[in-house]
Amino acid sequence: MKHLIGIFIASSLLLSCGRFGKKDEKQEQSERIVCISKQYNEIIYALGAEEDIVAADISSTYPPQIKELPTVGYHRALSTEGILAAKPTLILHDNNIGPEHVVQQITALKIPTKVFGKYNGDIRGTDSLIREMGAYFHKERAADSLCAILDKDMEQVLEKAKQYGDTQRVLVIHYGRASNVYLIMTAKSTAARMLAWAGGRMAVDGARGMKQMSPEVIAASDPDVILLTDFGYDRLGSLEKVKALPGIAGTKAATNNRIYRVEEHDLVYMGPRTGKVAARLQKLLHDETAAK
Amino acid sequence: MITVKNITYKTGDNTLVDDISVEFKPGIVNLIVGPNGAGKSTLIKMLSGQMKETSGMVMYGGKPLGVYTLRELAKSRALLSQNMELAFSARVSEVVMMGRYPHFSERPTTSDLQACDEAMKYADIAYLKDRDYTTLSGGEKQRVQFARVLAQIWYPEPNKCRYLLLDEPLAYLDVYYQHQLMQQIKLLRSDTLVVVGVVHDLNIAAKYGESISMIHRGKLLLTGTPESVFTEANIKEVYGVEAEILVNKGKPYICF
Amino acid sequence: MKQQQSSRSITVILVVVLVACMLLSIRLGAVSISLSEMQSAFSRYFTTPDTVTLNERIFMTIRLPRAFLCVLVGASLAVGGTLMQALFRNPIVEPGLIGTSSGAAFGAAMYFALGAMFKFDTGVWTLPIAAGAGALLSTILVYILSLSGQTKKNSIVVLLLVGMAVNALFMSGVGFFSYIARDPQARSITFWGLGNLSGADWTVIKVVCVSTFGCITVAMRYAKDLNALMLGDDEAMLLGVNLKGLKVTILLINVVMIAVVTAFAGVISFVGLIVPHMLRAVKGADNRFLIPNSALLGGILLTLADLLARMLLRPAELPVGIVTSVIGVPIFIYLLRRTKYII
Repeated sequence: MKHLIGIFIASSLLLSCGRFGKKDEKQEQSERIVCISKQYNEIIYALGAEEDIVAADISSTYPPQIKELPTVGYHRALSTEGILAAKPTLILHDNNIGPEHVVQQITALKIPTKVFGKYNGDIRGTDSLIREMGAYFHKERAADSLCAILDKDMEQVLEKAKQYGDTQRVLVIHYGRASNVYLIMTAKSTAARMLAWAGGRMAVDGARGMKQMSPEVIAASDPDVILLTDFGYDRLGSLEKVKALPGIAGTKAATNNRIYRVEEHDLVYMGPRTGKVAARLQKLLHDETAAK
Repeated sequence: MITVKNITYKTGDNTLVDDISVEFKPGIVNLIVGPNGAGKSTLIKMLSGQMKETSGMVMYGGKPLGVYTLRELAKSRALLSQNMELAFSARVSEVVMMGRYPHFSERPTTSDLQACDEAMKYADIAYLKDRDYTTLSGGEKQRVQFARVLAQIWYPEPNKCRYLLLDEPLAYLDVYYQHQLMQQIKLLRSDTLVVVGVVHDLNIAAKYGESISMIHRGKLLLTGTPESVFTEANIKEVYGVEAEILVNKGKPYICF
Repeated sequence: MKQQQSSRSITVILVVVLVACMLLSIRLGAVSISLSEMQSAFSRYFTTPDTVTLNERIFMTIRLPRAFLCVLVGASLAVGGTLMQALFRNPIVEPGLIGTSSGAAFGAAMYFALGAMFKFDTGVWTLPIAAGAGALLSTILVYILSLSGQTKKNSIVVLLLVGMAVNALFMSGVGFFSYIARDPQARSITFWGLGNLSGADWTVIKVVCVSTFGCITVAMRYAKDLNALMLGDDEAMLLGVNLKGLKVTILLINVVMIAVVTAFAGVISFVGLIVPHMLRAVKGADNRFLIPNSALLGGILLTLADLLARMLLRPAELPVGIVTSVIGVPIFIYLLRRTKYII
């Protein structure tokens, strides 16, 4: 059985991941950065500093053109030679990489690595990160304008939120489900903060950002709105199918057709677009006509 | 010489062998007979060391079985049973060579190879030498096992007996090979070879045995020549059937 | 005599192929390293380590140890398989059968899921220690449970069945840990469970080297006894084999070898199953031939599998266990169909 699963994973990897085997089109460059962090990658592209990025991890999916870069694989299952094949002069990562021995090997080989500062998971922290990265890449002006836009977007969102309060209870289902058990983002997650700004609150709590939950708990939480991330939603294909799922069927969200597709990379980290994401969430939660 | 002193074997409340004392001498064919469940197999397994007696003692050449190491014992004692399994494919010559394993540590010596060749010739299976054992018929397998057992104790050792034990080895053989095997065993007789066997067929026992031990319900009834053991009264007592004893080529022939 | 010659020529062929495979595996990789860099790496790494270039360092600290680790792990798995098949007199047994690899997987999964909770951390060694402890625990459990209550004897059938039960228990433990783990940790459990040789370094090589060569040397001393076991327990005993000593020693060798390689390379299946089959199909079941030659063939197969694992999705890597399964299943089925076995 284990072997069958292995074979299945292998073949689906081979079939689905067009991102493996992308040509390295920056062969001649002297400055070569491998960036293994979805958040850093999005900020680098937003700063316009992507020129030196020669490879990224496979979970970095925004902006879409990052998918044209060669990939070094999943950030928790890296291979040393795989990273080194990109001939990096610098590896950027956010301390969420593995396995452990690969990190050790990279250190032993004295490949330069850099981790940017760890800031609070709020707008001010995000501004600080953007500014630090802007300074690092000598794109201070771009960083300033990104922060200004982010701050302005947020101001508008928060202003509007005052009139809405946090009456809307929202359930965010991440990834999809396995045999009717759902992976749910809890009140401790990044998504919960974005939703709070937008004027909503999480329908369920948990000790960590994500939690597996049975359909019964989903039904009992009876959310006003359900957000389903891209992978899970696309696999089901339509609102009708999502509404019919056990636990979801019968909730207020299902009855009122308030189930929406969201991009995973919008909700799991903060970045220059977070203000816009919060604004979109706000529309989904409070502006019925816009949501339709 | 194998000396058995008051051996008893119990499992739970059952006494399978009950206080048997007997001697098996070299130079003759000693056979043990008795009905199903009489304790023949248990007795021979205690003789070979496969089972440990509850009380009493088995002695090889005057020393208790327990003082010999497994390896020492294996050099002079061999047992032919009806077990012919082989877990993987192997050539007949390799199977026979297994009989020599107790005698060498790394590689077989020329005398080991010679013992195997001679044993195979004696058992009349030299022509099967390069065949895959697992593809042989039941009768052929049993003869290969016989050659293996012979190879194990092929060479006489000075001042020491060798012991050939038989645990109902005739089961898978047809009449021709039953008699051939018993004849071959009988011809092995030597002053340094003790042959003790359990056989099922009374007429085979009467024909090839020189000393017969008859056991019944775990006890030894008597030991003696075929003529003295196979009497109408003894057969009636032990097997519970009426039989007529005839004489065939000078040996008793039991007619049921 | 003719036999000895033919088995010796098989050994020579295997050695040549193994060396060729190792050279290939040293030559190929995500980073392209030229032959001259390899040469200079050898001379400079030991004499003037400060002047070593990055490629030379990659070669000496990653590529080369990995090639050796492949051979050692493959050899351990294959010899483990040979020993288990001989001991259980059953050609469909693999080294993981007595719980060793599922126990290792359990230990590793526990480390991934709960490691942060406990305050034991010895850096790179934590995972191997956790896996090794799990392997030992499950194997001891199988052995104790299989000592039947009445006879205190170790029946092979009971051992097999208890092994299956304990395997199921520990695999459900792995399932439990990947269920409660956070997403990245769950991915780590999955990847480790599929086997990976990228953790090779010279310290690891030393440890695995000692266990592999030590165990194979001891196993060779028991090759003849294992042959006698083909005839059955009773017959082996009558040929002077100390059954209990043999069984305990062989099981112990298997645990040590498999626990060590599983700890460093994860769960790699099928090598231990098919290697003894392939050799037996060529040259019968003599363990004096099978043990050393399965070490060689195991090394060859795993080196080739790892080469594929590294090259297929370049620059990323496939877990090598997936490759061994994909290659192993058809070979195994082919061998099963053309060989008659009494099972």
